[in-house]
Amino acid sequence: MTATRTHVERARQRVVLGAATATWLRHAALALGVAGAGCLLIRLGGGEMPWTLAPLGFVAITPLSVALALRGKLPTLDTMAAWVDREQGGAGKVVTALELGGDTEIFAELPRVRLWPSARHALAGAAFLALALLLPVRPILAEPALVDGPGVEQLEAQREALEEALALQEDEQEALEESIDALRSEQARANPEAALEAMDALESRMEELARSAQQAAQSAQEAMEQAEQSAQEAQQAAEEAASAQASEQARRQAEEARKAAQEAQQSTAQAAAEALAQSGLKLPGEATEALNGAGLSAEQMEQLQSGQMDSQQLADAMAKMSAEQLQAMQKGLQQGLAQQMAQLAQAGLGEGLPSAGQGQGEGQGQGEGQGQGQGQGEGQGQGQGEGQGQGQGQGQGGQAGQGGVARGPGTAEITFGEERPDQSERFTPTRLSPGELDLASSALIGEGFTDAEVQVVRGADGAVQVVSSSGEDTHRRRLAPSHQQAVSTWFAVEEE
Amino acid sequence: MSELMEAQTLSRAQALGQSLIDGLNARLLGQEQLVHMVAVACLARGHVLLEGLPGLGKTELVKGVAGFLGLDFRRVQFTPDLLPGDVTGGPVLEEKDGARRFVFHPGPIFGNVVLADEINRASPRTQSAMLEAMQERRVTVLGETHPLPDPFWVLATQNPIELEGTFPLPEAQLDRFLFKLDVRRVGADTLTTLLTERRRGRPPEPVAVSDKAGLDALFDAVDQVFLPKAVAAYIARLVNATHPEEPSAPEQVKRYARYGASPRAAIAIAESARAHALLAGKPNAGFDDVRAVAPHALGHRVVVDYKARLDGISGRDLAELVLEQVDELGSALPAELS
Repeated sequence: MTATRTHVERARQRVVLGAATATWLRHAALALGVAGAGCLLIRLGGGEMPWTLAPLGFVAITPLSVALALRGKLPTLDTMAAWVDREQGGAGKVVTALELGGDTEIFAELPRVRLWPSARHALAGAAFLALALLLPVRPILAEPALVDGPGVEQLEAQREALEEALALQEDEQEALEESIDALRSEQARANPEAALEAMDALESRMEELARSAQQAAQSAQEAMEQAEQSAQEAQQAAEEAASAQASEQARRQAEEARKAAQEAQQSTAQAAAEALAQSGLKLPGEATEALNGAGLSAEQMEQLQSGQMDSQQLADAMAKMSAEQLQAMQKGLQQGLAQQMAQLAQAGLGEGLPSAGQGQGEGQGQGEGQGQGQGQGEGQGQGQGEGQGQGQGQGQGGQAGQGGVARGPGTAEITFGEERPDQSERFTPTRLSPGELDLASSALIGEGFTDAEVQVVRGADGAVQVVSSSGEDTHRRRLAPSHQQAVSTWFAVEEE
Repeated sequence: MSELMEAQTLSRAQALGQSLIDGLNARLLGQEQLVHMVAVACLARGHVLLEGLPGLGKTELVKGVAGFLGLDFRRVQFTPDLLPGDVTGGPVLEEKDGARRFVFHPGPIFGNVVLADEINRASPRTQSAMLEAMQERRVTVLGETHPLPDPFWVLATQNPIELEGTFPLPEAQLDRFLFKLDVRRVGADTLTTLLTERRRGRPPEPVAVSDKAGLDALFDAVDQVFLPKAVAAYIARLVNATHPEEPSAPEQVKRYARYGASPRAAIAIAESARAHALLAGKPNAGFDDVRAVAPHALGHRVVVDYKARLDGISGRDLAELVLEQVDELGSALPAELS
């Protein structure tokens, strides 16, 4: 083999090797990118590790794709001889020497292959693959944790705790049960957004119920304390009246004081009874025991325990109770309510009440706890009341904002995947009067099937502008004169 | 051919060719490239169409070719009333030994070097007779064929101005010319030399640098110049690329060219590349030789359409574009090759 042929052969080998390497790098870059995207998708879909690595198979088949891509595209020996000849000035000596088997002086360098651009792409693909494999991602295609079993089950537990503590209205109970059932169905329909909204709304509703009960219980306790105090005052006045035999005036004053104290006891007992009835809380056993001596029938006692007793009957019974009985009832009520609130708090509803042992001095702390409970949320209230945005949890609008715990106060109508009918676009269809159409100079070209629904906008200068209310109107049946000409011209040309 | 010509033969032929070029350069000042290409055409035994303004030395150049090669020179001034017989010659009734008969009297075309001055002024009929003789290298009159002398060159001239009353050569006839060369004006230095060194601009009388045998040896040497397949393939691709219907043709060729160059163009390029290589002292033609001669061989063979004329694009422009865009390698190398 002559030196010329050897040089050309080496040049060809270098080009072939370089081209194969560069092509492989390009294909590898693409394969790495595809594999990275695949890995990422699998990870987002919650796939496990062996499946996550499956897209790397794209990289494995790149040698085959390179062979296919380079098939018939690699330079022949003659082509490389022409290249070397051209590099030497194109005098034809190299191609002549190669063809005739001779030799000639070779001063051209071997070809240089630039691999860096292709390598850069491959590096980028590898970096993407590494990121796709190592970047911490949270599966988004799997069912969200918030909507899965534990979330719904927790709501169910809250509902049961609420029913156990409160004497809920029948429709309220049904509403809660239906909402939880709806949650489950949304979960089954893989509609996490709607389920989340529903969860938030349901949780808010139940918290509201618990909070109301908590406030009423607090009020009832305070009223009970006042009733107890009034009873003590009445008892003390009665004792004073009994001991003031010497002075008629003093006896009369003591009697008046006793009557005033009894009236105060009655009114505070009335307030306490109303607060208890409003709270819907079932009267604790400790409190009902104190009422045994108040002349209540067995049926009334049963109603009392189930939280369905009339507040007036309870007030009457409490008015007849002595200070000791009231104190015993107040103590039992405090302990029982604290226990119920603790159960609700344990279920995640409310903050609970202080136990009886904590005493009066901790009443303020209890109030603060409630205040915090009410202050949550950044609601975006909507509706007729023009939602009190940035809410302190006390929206004043007639309709509370949509969303959950952190989105405003009160209850919102739960939307399960469909648009609320009262939120669609509001418009008033306006029928054009004949005077607003240029009937004199326009021509009737046909009749539609529906009435025209347009908006008439009158400008400050009296100009009338007619704006279509829909993009699919069928009511344009009249053509203005200028348009008539345009249409006739157009179709005249078409007919030719 | 499987061997390169001997170095001695090559050297002798190159020296002879260089003598011709030197002589012509001494006769025609400041036209080195033109002279070189005329010499190439002569060695390739091809006809040349010279286009240029009057007074640029076209006639002196042709006279010089004949003089330096020691050949017979004839000149025909073409005019509209020139007849074919005025060029080719014709039968004349003669009386000899009491008998009358037609005797063929050769016309001015029967010379080694024929200057067809302002060939575009003759009628198409006369042009055809002339161009037929150029191709066939013989003249047939009254059924009798008369071969033209060997070697036989026609160096025609035409004026790019005063085109009124002329008959532009049809494309088919232009194809007969190996080269179409533009004769350009010379610079001030050349003119100064001309004025100071030549009385009334008269050039030095040519002295023959070769005899008939030497000329035959020169032509043999040209024939022995090796044309590698890669170079031949390059010529073929160049010619193909002038055709607008060819997929590999440049975009402008597709837009402006009506017809591309004929196979005769490829032959012309190959032959002239050989001659060019010989004058360069090479035993083989290379890509550089092809690039040197191709524009002159292709320019007048590419027929452009009216759009090209409106845009000021000539066949020569397209030929140079083709030369610029067609690669010597034939197939693209990987893009990564620097």
